[in-house]
Amino acid sequence: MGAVPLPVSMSKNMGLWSQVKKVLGGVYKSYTFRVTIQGFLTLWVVTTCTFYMIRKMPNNPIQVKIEEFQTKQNLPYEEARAKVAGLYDYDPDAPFIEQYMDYMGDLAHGNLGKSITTGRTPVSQQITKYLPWTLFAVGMGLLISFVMGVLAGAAMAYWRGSVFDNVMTAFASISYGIPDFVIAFMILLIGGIQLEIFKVGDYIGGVDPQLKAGFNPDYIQSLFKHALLPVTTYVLASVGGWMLTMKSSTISTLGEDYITVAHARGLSQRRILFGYVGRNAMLPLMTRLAISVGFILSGSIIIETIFIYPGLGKYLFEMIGRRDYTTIQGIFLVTSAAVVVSNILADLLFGVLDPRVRVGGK
Amino acid sequence: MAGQDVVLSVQDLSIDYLTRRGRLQAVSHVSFDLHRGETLALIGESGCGKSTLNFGLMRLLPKTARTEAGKIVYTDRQNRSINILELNPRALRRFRWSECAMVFQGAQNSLNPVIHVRDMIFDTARAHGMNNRNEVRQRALELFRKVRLDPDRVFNAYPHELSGGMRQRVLIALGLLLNPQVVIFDEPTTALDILTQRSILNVLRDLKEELGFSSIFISHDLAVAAEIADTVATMYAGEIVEMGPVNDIFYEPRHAYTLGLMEASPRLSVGREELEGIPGSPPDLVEPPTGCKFHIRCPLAIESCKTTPPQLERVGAGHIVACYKSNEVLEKGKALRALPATHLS
Amino acid sequence: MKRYLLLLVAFILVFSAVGTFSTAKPVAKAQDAPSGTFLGTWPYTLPPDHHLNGFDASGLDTNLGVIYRQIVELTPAFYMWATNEYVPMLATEWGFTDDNTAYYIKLREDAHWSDGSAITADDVVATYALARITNYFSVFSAGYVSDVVKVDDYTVKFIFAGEPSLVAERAILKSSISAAASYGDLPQRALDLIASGAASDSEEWTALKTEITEFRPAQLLASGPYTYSLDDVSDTYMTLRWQPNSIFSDSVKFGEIRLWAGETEATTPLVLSGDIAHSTNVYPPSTQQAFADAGIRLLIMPRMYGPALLFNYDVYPFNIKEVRQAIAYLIDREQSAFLTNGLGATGTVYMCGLLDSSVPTLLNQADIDALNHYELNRDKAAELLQSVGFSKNSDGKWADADGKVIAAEYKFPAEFADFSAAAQDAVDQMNQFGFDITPVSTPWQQTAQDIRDGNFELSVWSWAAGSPFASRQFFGPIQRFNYVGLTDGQKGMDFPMEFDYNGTTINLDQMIKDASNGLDLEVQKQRAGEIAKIINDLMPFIPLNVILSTEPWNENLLSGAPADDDPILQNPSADHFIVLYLLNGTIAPAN
Repeated sequence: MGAVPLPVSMSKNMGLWSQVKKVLGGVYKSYTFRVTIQGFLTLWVVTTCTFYMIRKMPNNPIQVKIEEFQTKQNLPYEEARAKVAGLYDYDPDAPFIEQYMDYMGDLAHGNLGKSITTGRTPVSQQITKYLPWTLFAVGMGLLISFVMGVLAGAAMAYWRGSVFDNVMTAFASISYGIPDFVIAFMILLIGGIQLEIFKVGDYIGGVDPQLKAGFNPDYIQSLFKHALLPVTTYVLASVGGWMLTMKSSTISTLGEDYITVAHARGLSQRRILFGYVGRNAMLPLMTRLAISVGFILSGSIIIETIFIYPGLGKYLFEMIGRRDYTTIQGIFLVTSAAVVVSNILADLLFGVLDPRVRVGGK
Repeated sequence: MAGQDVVLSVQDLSIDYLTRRGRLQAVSHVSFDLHRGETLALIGESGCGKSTLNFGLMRLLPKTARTEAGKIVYTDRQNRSINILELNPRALRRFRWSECAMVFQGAQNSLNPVIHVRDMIFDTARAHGMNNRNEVRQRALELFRKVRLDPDRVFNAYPHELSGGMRQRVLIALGLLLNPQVVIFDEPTTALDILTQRSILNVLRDLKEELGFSSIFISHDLAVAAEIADTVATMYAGEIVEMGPVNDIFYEPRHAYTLGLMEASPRLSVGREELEGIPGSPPDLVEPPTGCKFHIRCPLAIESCKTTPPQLERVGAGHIVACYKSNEVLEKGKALRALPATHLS
Repeated sequence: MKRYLLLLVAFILVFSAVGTFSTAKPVAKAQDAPSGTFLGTWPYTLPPDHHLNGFDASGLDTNLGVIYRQIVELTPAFYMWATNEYVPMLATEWGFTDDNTAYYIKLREDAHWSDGSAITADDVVATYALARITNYFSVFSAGYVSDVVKVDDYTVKFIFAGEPSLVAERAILKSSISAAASYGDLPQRALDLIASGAASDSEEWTALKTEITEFRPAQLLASGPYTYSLDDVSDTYMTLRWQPNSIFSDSVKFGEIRLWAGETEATTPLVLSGDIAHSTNVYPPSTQQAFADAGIRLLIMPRMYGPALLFNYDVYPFNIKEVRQAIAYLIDREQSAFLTNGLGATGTVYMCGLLDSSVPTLLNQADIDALNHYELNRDKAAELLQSVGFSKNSDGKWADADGKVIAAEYKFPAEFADFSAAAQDAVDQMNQFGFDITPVSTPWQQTAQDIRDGNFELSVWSWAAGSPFASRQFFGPIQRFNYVGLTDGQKGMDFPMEFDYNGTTINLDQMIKDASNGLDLEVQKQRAGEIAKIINDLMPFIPLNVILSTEPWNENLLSGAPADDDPILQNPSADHFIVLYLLNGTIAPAN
């Protein structure tokens, strides 16, 4: 019988199979692969959920536009309906699953689709138009807020109980407690209107409309000038959180044995503060920073709206109001992707900073 | 006893903490001399002030502590006397570790978890002007060998990659890096298993013989102290209540508290099941009791114990004690020792 | 309190400072451009969403709004509400043809587009051809007009499909005329398609419609004295620039119109800082007060709608007429108005589905006298409830014979400060009277959806509309939020529109639709009177109050606003006075 050759070929097969399994297992175990798969799964779940949920929101793009024409233009309902009829390339009665499959099909080809309410502009074009502003202003705000918060928080912990600490803690608590839009209004009303430190109209918007876009000093200066109020508001509203977190983290680090040991070892104050206290105290803040970095993209809706700053947050807000499903979907997707990526980066960065949580082995 | 070979002399040292309720007298009027090559064991319950005393020696106390009185005189290798309490920050920083190092309890957090062992070595060396990394490395590897570690592996490791016992050895090696005259060991074997304790103690004994440093050894474990110390001091409520050569203290304790500690320590070899602890708890040091601070818990206390604090008196060669009933204690101790098969070492 | 003081200080300071702001930057431009910048605001969109197509709702209508579109693309005439008369703009003559089969307009012969070419009947015909294909104008969508014919170079005739109509007249006279040249060959193709007799649901028609709405004119040819290009649209403001070729170019007093982006929250500080001189946004009463404190004048104008209490007729006992009438009696509508929008609202008087200001012109005196005003009278309300078997129980609540109390949920939109205030006040007043009403706030989109779905017991939404015609004003909740105006089996209020009334079967829906048909105002009044009396009797919804616009007007920056009692202030924003006053030069920069 063929009893003898069989096991040979079997073992051969098994050898091959186990080889494949080993390779596949190795691939799966590979950190990059795992993280990529997890990332895509997360995005898929987020996309599906938002796809469902935004279409479950009451009203649809057509109804909203009719409302708008009625209230803003004072048109009787029938006239408004006539103007809006057939305006959008959107069929509210199409089966949900069909819309979903269409969308996912486009997405698989890297196509975010076209906006419903804005004359069929490609969503990717909209995002690339508004994203840079948000990245610029919120990114700058986050950077300044984080650096200032960390430095001040560490100083507060180091001199805790001092006048400096008390004043800064009070400031941080206030900053932490006041909503950003209140700060925005206070800046405008007190700085711009009461004290006339600046002229409100000159600081509103993304850039002076009378300047030509380009890489010239006037334009760049105007960019920074117009980012000033949103950035200041963002910093004032968020720096308190960083300060308080850094302070408590630093205090607990200062109480660690290894700091006492470092003193006993005769290390210089500088070395202890930066190499031991600062670095260790910042570790817990890194997760928060990573999340904040991810959320940079979604911008700061209220701040951008008040200062008419042309960022993605303001745009998203408008589009939610208009029920522009494809645009909302696209912005959500990009934002979630940013959060996912920044979390992965944070994991990697964390591994560099804290060997105890080094991911995926060495 | 004073003389050329005293390397660290503590004179009438008192340390208070400022607390919400008032001053807490953590260390009061402590005096002792540490000789070259000597090992002094400080024993007592937690909270008796032994750690405060040691941190005080290196001026590592928190901001709420006040060194109220006394002197800490250190004699360096050039025989210059230095009052540590008067050192300016720069001089203090140089004094630390190069003259007097401290080995902390290593099980947990004495090593910065996020940097390599080697960087802690280099940091320490650089802080004291040793900038030749190769030399430092050679020295560290040698020390690691001496504490029976795999030198290359440990040198490049992160703390969390080492076991508790290994970390303790790293700390010991780190403590000896700059070849200090005095090394303070703060409960170096606590929280380690028995076998590891044993091997750490062996390492310490060998090192001491080889390098000849003086040391202060803090422990609440009498058995451990007995193994390593030349002199033993018992602390209670911030005071040294008895001090003497290791054999005197163990075989002829003269203070009721010392005796109590010995009875409280577990004895491995006996069939005696009961473990006589000391009844009661240490006194409140913000409002300490009058008289002998131990009188409330002392089974032998008499009226004068409650009113007048006993002074330290000499009861043997280098053996001092502050107890009115030192003779009764001696008798009681002898009676106890007469029971079969008690031993400490 | 502290905050109030702070704001007050801020506003006083700003008032004193406003004079020093000089926002008008002299910018060298076309010769003879008047200096000065009109500082307004409109929530336009940004390119690429922003485009210059006048036949797509996301184009000029959205980006300029009715007001500013009219100073870029002129309308044939401008309507004065107080006198029911039209003021000539692009047209010199208009009216019904003698046989009433058509309406005609005759254009000014000296009118030119901004490129210097003449405005002719061809432009009107082209405009209506494009609008017809896209079904964009109500003269087509409502079926009034069947054809638009060029009579001579400056005269156009609109052939009525059926009866002549005053509603159609208004629609014709207030629609902007676009330049045929802006739309390439599309107007000609539209005319050809119409001439071929193609059906409006044919493939060619749909294809051309798509082509027209997706067309993006490269430039905006203006008949008004201002025009703009997409380069003038920034994220901060857009600028309409003076051009010399309009019939109004010599009379206007501003070289440019600056329209700030943003809505209420963004424009509030800009109004205070003097960067915006006039705004059509809706501001809450506290902000209005702040403007007034800062010395900014508030122009009161009709907004032509107000909150109404809506009933669900599937919910007992709101299907009982006497219960609804009792509710009309027990709610203090003056209090409701004040809480809704401070002084910018008035309690409803005639309670008949028409705006109080329109009642005298739309109804006969006899019918007006027959209307029940439902003046606040809680005894009368109690009497009505008792007449249908309700009585007060031991808890002081009104209950029917079975002991069932009058209990309901009152849904209202959380974001609309005015509507939610009106709703909460109504809840309070009904509960004080002995009902058991629970207020429930939901996002406005949700509220609207719930009303359409019939998923409510009581709710609040608007009634009346910005039209001088009875049929449009009557078109309220009972059509929009009732089964007759809804699709997909949505029931809305579920108020029956066909029923027996005084012995005859009537169709209220049809009656309202037909109310303003024809040219005979007396007949229209009669029809409106019938409807008004039925609504007044049945109280299918309670028109709580009418909201007024309060528009900030900074007299330090602008001169020429009408006095408070000027009849032109009876115009709502669809016929905003600034259109006329900007064009004829009444509004000018303040000295």
